[in-house]
Amino acid sequence: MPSVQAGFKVGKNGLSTADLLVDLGPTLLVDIGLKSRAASGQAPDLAEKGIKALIDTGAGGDCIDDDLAVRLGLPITDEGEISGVGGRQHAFIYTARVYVPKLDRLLFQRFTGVKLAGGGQWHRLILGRTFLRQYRLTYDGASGGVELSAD
Amino acid sequence: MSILGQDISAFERMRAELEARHPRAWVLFHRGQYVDVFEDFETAASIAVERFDAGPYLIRQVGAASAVQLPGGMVFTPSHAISSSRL
Repeated sequence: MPSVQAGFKVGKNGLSTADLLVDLGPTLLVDIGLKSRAASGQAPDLAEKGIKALIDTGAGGDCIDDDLAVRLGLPITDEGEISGVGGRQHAFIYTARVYVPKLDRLLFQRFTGVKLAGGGQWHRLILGRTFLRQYRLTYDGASGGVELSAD
Repeated sequence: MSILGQDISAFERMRAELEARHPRAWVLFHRGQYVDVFEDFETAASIAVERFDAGPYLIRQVGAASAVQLPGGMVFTPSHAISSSRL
């Protein structure tokens, strides 16, 4: 069963792996873009690689940093409003291909555009339950380990 | 600022028919025209990118929830669920 680690194996700056998991959250490195540049039969080659994605089981939908979506030239495929503690604002839905190398699965995904970099966030993507629907997630807060696996 | 106004208007005009004939399916609209209906998002997006590249175009699930829960307590509400006076 293919799997990938989204937790922390080594502590840093005096923080244990469990502390890092609390501070930063489960983080997956993913490739993202619109079209693969790889030849047929080869591993997908998307425009941006190793993008930090926060796994967030509290979110239903997925989010992308607006600036990253524009830089990648992703198509706008829906629009509406985001509402929350900061009030309301217009928002676009972008469509992108996402590839997690160790899971070897290339899929289209819908992302709501939000200001992650502009808000000082470490991650550029947030992957919620829509993304997780096809995987098994194991979270070990005591050790700082998180594993995502595909059947 | 609306980018997909034409497509969303076209979707609204066909909404009742789509909900009756294709519940939970994914539909594609481009330049205010209905293109096709698909069983899943993966197929809809593949065809859309192949035919219309970087768009824009509307890909929407028929009968989808009127709001999507996002991180930090935010909620995304698609335009069809918002009063037209606020879009």
